[in-house]
Amino acid sequence: MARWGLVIDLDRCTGCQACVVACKHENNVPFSTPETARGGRLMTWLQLVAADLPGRPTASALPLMCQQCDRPPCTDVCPTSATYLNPEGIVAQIYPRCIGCRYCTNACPYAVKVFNWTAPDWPDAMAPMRNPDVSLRPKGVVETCTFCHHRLIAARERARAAGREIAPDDYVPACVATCPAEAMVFGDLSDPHSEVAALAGSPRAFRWMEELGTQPKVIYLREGE
Amino acid sequence: MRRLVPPVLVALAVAGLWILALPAAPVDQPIAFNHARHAAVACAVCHRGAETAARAGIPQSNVCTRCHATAPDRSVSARAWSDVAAGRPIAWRQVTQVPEHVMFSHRRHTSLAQLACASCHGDAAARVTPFGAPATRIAMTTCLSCHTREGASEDCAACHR
Ligand code: HEC
Ligand code: HEC
Ligand code: HEC
Ligand code: HEC
Ligand code: HEC
Repeated sequence: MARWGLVIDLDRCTGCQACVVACKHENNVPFSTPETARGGRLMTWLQLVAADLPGRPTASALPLMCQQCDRPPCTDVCPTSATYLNPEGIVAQIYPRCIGCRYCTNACPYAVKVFNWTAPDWPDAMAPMRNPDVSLRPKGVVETCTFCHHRLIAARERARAAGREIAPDDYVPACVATCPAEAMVFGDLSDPHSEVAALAGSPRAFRWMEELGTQPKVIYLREGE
Repeated sequence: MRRLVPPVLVALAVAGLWILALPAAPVDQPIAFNHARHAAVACAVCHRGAETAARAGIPQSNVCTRCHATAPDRSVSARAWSDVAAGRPIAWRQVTQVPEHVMFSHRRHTSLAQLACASCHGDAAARVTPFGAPATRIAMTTCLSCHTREGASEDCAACHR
């Protein structure tokens, strides 16, 4: 069984935020206004945060999304198992099962789980741009990055139609597909020949807040070495 | 008066439960479509996406007029048919439906998994009246019991999106 992982090379990342836009667009993430953002209710699954990394004179811009932990604190506290670690290592969120208690948003040390305080407000002009492969989340549920899991289901269907096994390029999340600097690499960590597995073993590799023992499957590569 | 109240309440409660237990009222379709009369036609001629896409699709006027140059029968009023002949959209109502949070692909199940339409929709070719309600209610247990049998995915995230 695959263990999906993502490597982000901070040396290559230019901080352009194309991934942030691609993610919003791909996953029908509702719009936010500066007011909602100031109120701490910004809806986004992927954000550039300032991070003080050892040996760097200034803060680095860290593209931060769900870290897809192998030991996710969020699933431990979910009273309904709406969020759980699936067999392929993706931390999923089953919206109709979610009761909106927000234990998971509080348990997550990365603060990447967001709560729908209101029903999504989609301007009519934007409706045709919604991705039909992803649902619109109702008010009162928590949502977060799923490594674009719907793309995995579609990729399996395409591979099956072509009569072959799924290949590494078949399944790539929107952020990775968009990154103009090619700073993001996605793939199967359990495959020793995969590019992600090789990069994860690089001396530059580190995991954000790894000291907490969450065992993320998002791996960063340090800058400037 | 006092003695009358309990029997009246009981009668009302029984009537209420009776109404709740009745099957949901069938949906009216704009044309009394008869599948059995079209049994010689392959499903995919009308339901174009049934083997190639996620959604099967319900055929519109342009499909009907390929075979019907004129109104087919008295079962369709001249007025209803003039709309079809003019190529105006037919307001079919889709009755078999999964909620928005569920992902379902026909192609995956029909041309790829080789399942017959009847395994989910009953014998459509034998129907003489339009689908007023789904032939079989497609609930989560319907999906799951087949997935268990066929060894397909039972992971929540496979179906929920
Ligand atoms: C592939 C050709 C074909 C297509 C496409 C087709 N039909 Fe027909 N239809 C027939 C034939 C043939 C009959 C006559 C069957 C018979 O006489 O037993 C018929 C009969 C009918 C009848 C009469 C049924 C009855 O109760 O006696 C209706 C109504 C009808 N079609 C409606 C439609 C509508 C609406 C569409 C489009 C959604 C459509 N048809 C598309 C071939 C077609
Ligand atoms: C000539 C065109 C035609 C053919 C051939 C045809 N259908 Fe249909 N089908 C329709 C139309 C029109 C409707 C919508 C009206 C209705 O419910 O009957 C429909 C409705 C349906 C529905 C219900 C859709 C809903 O709203 O839930 C199912 C299921 C279905 N068809 C399955 C089949 C299967 C299976 C076959 C092949 C055995 C088939 N159809 C062949 C025209 C066709
Ligand atoms: C594994 C079960 C399954 C099989 C097999 C299946 N269907 Fe469906 N069908 C569904 C479900 C579930 C829906 C509701 C889909 C939705 O809401 O998007 C549906 C919906 C439909 C509809 C409604 C309109 C639409 O666009 O989806 C039609 C028509 C239809 N099916 C026809 C067919 C035909 C024809 C076949 C065979 C070629 C077929 N189905 C095989 C489960 C199935
Ligand atoms: C009659 C049997 C049957 C029913 C009913 C059925 N499925 Fe399936 N489903 C299958 C089979 C078999 C496969 C595996 C197809 C393959 O090998 O590509 C599958 C595959 C899938 C997949 C792809 C899973 C993956 O890991 O890529 C999804 C999603 C899915 N089904 C959703 C549904 C939903 C939603 C329903 C109910 C609305 C449903 N299925 C009902 C037999 C069924
Ligand atoms: C094979 C596909 C499939 C799988 C796997 C699946 N579901 Fe579902 N689920 C569905 C479908 C289809 C519906 C909609 C049923 C309906 O309309 O009645 C549904 C509905 C639900 C609902 C909403 C019920 C309601 O009343 O609104 C919840 C909650 C739910 N599923 C949770 C889960 C959880 C948790 C898992 C994993 C343990 C799971 N599902 C796995 C297909 C699936």
